[in-house]
Amino acid sequence: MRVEPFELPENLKEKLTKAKKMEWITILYLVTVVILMYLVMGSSQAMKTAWLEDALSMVPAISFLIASRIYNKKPTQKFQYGFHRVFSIAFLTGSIALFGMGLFLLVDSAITLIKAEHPTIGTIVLFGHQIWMGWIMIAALVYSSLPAMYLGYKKLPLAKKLHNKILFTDANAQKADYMTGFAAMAGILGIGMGWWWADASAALFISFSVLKDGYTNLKDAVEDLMDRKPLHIKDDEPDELVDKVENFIKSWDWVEDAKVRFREEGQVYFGDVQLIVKPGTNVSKAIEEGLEKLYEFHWKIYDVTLMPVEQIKDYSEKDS
Amino acid sequence: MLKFLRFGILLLCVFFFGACNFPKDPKNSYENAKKSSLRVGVVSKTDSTQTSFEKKLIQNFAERENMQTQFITDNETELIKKLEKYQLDVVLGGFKKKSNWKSKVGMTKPYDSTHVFFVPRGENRLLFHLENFIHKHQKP
Repeated sequence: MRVEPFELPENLKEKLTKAKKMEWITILYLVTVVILMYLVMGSSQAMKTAWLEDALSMVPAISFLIASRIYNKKPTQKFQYGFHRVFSIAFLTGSIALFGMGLFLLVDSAITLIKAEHPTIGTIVLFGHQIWMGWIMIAALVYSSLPAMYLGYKKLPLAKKLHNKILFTDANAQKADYMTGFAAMAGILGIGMGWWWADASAALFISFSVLKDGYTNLKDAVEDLMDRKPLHIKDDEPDELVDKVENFIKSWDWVEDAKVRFREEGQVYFGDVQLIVKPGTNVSKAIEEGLEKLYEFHWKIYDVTLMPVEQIKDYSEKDS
Repeated sequence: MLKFLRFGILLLCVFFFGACNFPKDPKNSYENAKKSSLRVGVVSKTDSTQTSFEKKLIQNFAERENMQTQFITDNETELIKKLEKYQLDVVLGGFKKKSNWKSKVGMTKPYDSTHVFFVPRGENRLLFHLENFIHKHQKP
């Protein structure tokens, strides 16, 4: 049981500060994107979809910044396990927003396509030249996708190091943002070609990708809160750290056999260990020392209960 | 990254292929007006100063584009219905930017500060030329 405020190891603290800075930049940038896109979107369904997607992509950044102010608070009388889960909650919120918006956009775009609405795009006079608004929209889309991709690539390694899911999702979505941008551009160029259906089809494509992201994240967030076994965030493979801890405990000279069980609480792992203690051990002292060793083993192993038992119980019959 | 490049190249091809006379009309309103005539719906109203002014404007536009004109006078609802079916190219009747027909029609930008012409939805080439005329017509 730990009562002090949570602290990341020194090298990761630096990474977290950097991640926070990147997220502030992301928010400021997205605000300009959302304003610009709103001004030029006209009656194009693809632009509307891309615009809503951009507006929505602020949610992960904002939740990350809020959560990163709370997660390391000292446990209180009311919250005796600390505040680590705030990241999981923020992640769930973001994924619900994404999923819901994906559904809405899908229906909205499908209706536009079925009703065969022809998008009307006018012109604008810039510096005395008359320009078709479609070109302006494409310029806005370029602005909305290229810097986003760059930010995504920058944030991805930070997210992996910090084992922070919300940051990872945010970075991954931004990295793939060019897909949205290009789809919308194709829609606009299609309108220019006289294909009225291109716009709504592009919108439909974008909605699908939003919905797919939303679904994946929602599933992940729920499984997280259901105390699933810890996974790597980048490929969803089981974290080998859990097995390493088990082997580490088994290697102690006073331990006959052991079985560990861990769950993710935001960035860190909580768990318990069943131990069969060798006869003649001073159990309470050995456990106190064992806990110290575990906390030094890896920063992610944060809160552990060591429990001496007569016989180890298996948690699961099946693998699933 | 390769996928990204390929997609970009495809887009460029589409762009160069279609760059001449961009944007196009899905229903070819502009080309058809050139070939036969510009079909203009005029809303029948008691106050007709605005309408006759608009009529003159459209006539100027047609002259500049070497188009014949064909005027049809009827009530608003009928004209909008025809416009929706692409049986008319322009409807005029002193309409304003915030008109209730907004979702059924395409609009030009205002030729003064508030008044607009209606065009069929999505006929972007016709709209382009009409707005070009409005822009040239506006005195700075």
